[in-house]
Amino acid sequence: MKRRQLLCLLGSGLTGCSPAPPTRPALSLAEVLGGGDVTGFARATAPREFVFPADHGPHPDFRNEWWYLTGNLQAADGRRFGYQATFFNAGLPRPALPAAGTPQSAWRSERLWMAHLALTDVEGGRHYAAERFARESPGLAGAQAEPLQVWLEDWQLAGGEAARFPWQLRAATPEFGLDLQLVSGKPPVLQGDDGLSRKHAAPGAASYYYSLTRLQTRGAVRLGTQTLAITGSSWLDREWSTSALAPEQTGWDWFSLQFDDGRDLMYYQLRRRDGSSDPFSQGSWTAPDASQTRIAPSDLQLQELRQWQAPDGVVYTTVWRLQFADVGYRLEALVEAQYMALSIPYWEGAVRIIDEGSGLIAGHGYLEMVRQ
Amino acid sequence: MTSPGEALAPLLRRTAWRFARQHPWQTWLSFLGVALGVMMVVAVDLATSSAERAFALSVGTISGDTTHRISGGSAGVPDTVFAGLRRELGLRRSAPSVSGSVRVGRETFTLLGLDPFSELSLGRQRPGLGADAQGLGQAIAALASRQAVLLAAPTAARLGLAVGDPLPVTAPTGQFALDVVALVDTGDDSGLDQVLLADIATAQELLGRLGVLDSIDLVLDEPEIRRVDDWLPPGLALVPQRDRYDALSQMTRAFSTNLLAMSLLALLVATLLIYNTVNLSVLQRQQAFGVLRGLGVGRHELLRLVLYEVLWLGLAASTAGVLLGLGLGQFLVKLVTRTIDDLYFNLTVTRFLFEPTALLKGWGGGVLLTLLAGALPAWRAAQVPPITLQQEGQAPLLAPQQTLRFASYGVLTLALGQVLLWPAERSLLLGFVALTCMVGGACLLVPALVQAVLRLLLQLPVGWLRQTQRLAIAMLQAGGSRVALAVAALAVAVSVTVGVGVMVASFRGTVLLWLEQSLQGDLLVTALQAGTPLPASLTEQVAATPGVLRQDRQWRLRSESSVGSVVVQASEGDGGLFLKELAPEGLADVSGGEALLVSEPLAWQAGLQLGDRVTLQAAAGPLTLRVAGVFYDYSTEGGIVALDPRLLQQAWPATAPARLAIHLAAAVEPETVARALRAELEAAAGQFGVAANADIRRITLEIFDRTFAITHVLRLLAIGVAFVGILSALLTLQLQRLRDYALLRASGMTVQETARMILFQTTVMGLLAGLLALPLGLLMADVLIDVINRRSFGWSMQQLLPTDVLWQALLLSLVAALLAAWLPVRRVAAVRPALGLLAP
Repeated sequence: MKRRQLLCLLGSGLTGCSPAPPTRPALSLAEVLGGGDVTGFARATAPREFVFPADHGPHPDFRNEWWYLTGNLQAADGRRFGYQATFFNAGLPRPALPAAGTPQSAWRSERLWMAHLALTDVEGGRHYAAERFARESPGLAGAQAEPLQVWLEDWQLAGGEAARFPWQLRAATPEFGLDLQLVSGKPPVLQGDDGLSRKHAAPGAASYYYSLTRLQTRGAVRLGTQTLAITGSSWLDREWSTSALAPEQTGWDWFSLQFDDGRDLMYYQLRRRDGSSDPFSQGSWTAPDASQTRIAPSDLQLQELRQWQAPDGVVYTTVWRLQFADVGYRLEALVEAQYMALSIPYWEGAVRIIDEGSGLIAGHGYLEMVRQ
Repeated sequence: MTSPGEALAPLLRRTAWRFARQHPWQTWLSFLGVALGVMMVVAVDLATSSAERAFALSVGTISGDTTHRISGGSAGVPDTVFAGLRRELGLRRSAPSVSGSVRVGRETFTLLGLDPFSELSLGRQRPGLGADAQGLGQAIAALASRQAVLLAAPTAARLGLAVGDPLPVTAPTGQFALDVVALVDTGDDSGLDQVLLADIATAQELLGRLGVLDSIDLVLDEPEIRRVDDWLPPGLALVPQRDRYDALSQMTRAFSTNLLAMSLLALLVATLLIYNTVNLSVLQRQQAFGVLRGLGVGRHELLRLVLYEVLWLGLAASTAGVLLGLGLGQFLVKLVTRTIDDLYFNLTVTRFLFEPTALLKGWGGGVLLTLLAGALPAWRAAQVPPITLQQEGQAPLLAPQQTLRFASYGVLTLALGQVLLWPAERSLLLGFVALTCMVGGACLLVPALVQAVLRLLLQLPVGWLRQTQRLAIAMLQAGGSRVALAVAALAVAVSVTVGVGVMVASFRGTVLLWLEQSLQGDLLVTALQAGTPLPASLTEQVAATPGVLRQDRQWRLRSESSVGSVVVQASEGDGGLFLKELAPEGLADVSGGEALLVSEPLAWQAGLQLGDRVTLQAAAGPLTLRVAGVFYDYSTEGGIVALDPRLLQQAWPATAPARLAIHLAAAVEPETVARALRAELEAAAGQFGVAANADIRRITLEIFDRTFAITHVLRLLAIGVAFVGILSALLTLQLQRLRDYALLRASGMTVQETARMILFQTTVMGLLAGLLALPLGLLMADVLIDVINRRSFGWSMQQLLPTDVLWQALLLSLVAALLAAWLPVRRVAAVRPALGLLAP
């Protein structure tokens, strides 16, 4: 209950949920990720020009923004790990301005931050997840472009001057920790319509969305007291918006797949209340030379093959079949229970791609499933 | 075949019951004595444990279950330190807070500013916040608005507020209408009775504490402690919460101990009373018991019979006492919490706590003491030899040699008490044992003293006393141990009033002296919110005000030190300190910046001696100084150290004076100047107050008197118990002598003459008790002052001898005795001589 209220605050900017009665129903994701008052925030209505490295930094005119890192890692002895490190932030509804000359506390933040950190130990069959919350000021969390820095307390993603690679991700909990260096092998990929990713038909119901689909990764993973050197590949999704899902949209399945042949696939399927796939679902292929092909829902078929039930009863699909232009792939979760039992519960985890034709592993990736 | 005793058991019980019914006064009075004694113990126990619980909750509300606190004294902790802790050290189990007082109508509330996210990561169990999800959600909701506060639901109900209502508040930065955004459902003991919860930003803005936290609470393990210690900027200290809590709770515990001492004394009086009544009832039935023995009832059966009676009395009276104690406890808890509030700590909880163990303890104690008090008379009943109805029972009185033996025990016990006092200087428990020894010893001395005085009276020249008076004295003498017991009970009760009275008067006198010494000049200008510095322009304004002769600046700030958190003060002019001890050249060393003076409570608590060293965490770096003297202090801010003003300014360069002591020209009326100053300070928007020192003195004494109001209540109760005691003793004494009075009446004595005789007897007893109570009371005061209060508060006092307390004690015992005579007089007057002669 408390966590939900917390998120209610983070997402909807408080207005909808302040003096909550004790039996308030769970908040809908639409509420969390974009309900509430949007007055004063910019909207993503038309394609814009992306400028790097500035766009790696924050866009405080928009209500929500995130830096979303996922990746598959491997230790020298072959042990595999999946990880996720995400920095979300949400703007609060702007409180009435203080009377002129009234001094303001440094704690009077305009933005709130949430960060998620997860590690999947594939051999151990375990999944660890943690979350943090903080207000932005005084200096507790934030983001800046020059030099690139995104942080929530001592969890941070930092790049050099002009966002020069390698970027460094450092985040730890008492149970596990990540210390990774990331170097992008491809330029940023603008998703959707030149970076404008529409979620439904309403005006402004879109986000600006780009990805770094191949981040060569090296560094160390700590599990308890054991630290392992690792290498691997990561994926960064960047999105900022002042929008939410439409009422009939009840969640999504998001795939970020890195094929061993150098192609990357991003696809999200928005799920409708009636169980069907929303026509606003979309994705793209990124070729090894970074050239990009957009994917419409009609271009591929998704089948749900195996289900896993979370402790709260929500059912997630851990084995999928994806067919694209006559080629079929099986997407298998490396560990079934990669469940983020956090304030917003969802499933996010490492998957492997199996080519149905050869039966061989064709790559690895990440899968996120959000349900209401 | 049953033994005669067994066969007679119902009969025995019936005789006991009938005896009780035939002597209702006696029965009721001993019932009342036990009940009152138990009531006091239970009430004090409940009240103090409620207060302690309230105290723990209040501390918990502020600090929660954390291990350490970063505090920066008066200057506070910069916001950036918290960000540094989180970002650089990654210490997530940490939470900042800002609190201060605001007024809502006539009530003072603590405005507690928190960061809900930090509370979440700290995992702090706060009542109504964090511990329960709803509370946290609501606390976070408070972020939404600039002036949102949360209230405990019961508090809101008391103030007649609902969610959405504006709450007019006077804060240091002005007047605001805050929004009550949510009510925290607190359950029973929340610690939030007098708290307004707000977001930390709101609290900083309302309290005018921008950029500054009061403190940061942390949960740290050993390696983290070292990291924080190394990292902390100068002027800040990492303090274990246990230390803070211990120091505070020790003080409240000591306070409750003082109260408990008083209630135990009352129970002691009650025990004497029980002994007295049971003894009398046994003596009255001496002949009946002899006859029963003659009929074959065994010693054990008689013993059991009397103990059985006593047990019933104890059970019934203790139960009544517990019930009464519950009622009284509710009243006392208000007095106790107010006292703790005034003395130490802004208590946020004042709710009465129902604690079954306290009830059980009081009840069990009452029953046990009744049984113990009745054991000796019961044993005596069993010793009655078998007689026939024709034989007269003997009335065993305390034989002269027994009286002497008692007296020698008394002297020994008194001496033991004195010996125990010596090491008791630092042990509260020993102090109490010593006190009990003294009271007990004095009681043992009473029979001998009473006998001696009565003998002396009888030896007065014939003309000095009338014949009836001699007869009255002789009757008292014949009353023997009964009279002695009544006198002892009254004497102990009255001595409690003397002891406490002298202690309070000495204390008050000392505080007055201290106030005279430490309140320099005629007017005092202070910041209303602690920590607000007086602006430099103020001294110019003051200097320009007509009538001002001179002004002394005074600095006060809070600092961490090697002996815990202390108030550091410095003052221009003569320091205004009431010195207790001073090293040779001590003052010169202080003004030379080499030494400091410490307050007496600090010296006591930290065990500081002249010449010891104290290190202060000054803003400019650690400052180690020698202790050159100790001064009296009765303020309650904890330890104080006094420095030379120049040294203080060097060590804390950013600190501005906190107070201004203003000396006025002789003919100037302080209030006139105060008014002028207030008008000039208007611009400072109510941040500073101007008070005449005379007013401060008056208010301080008012608080003092309020603080000790509870002791007066307990004194009155102790007197109540004693009154019941003497009434029952006199009543039984006189009723036993109904036949003698009837004889006297039959031989021509008028009702008035008989009444006068009884009144004379009670006057003698009252006077005797009063006179005995004086030395005993003074002894008690001595122990209370030197051991218990010094131990509790670290305060020593000038011992004063307030004559009014002494007169009142004498008067009290006389009035009690005379009042107690009223009933017997009526009884005796109503006796028809002929019938009285037939009385058994």
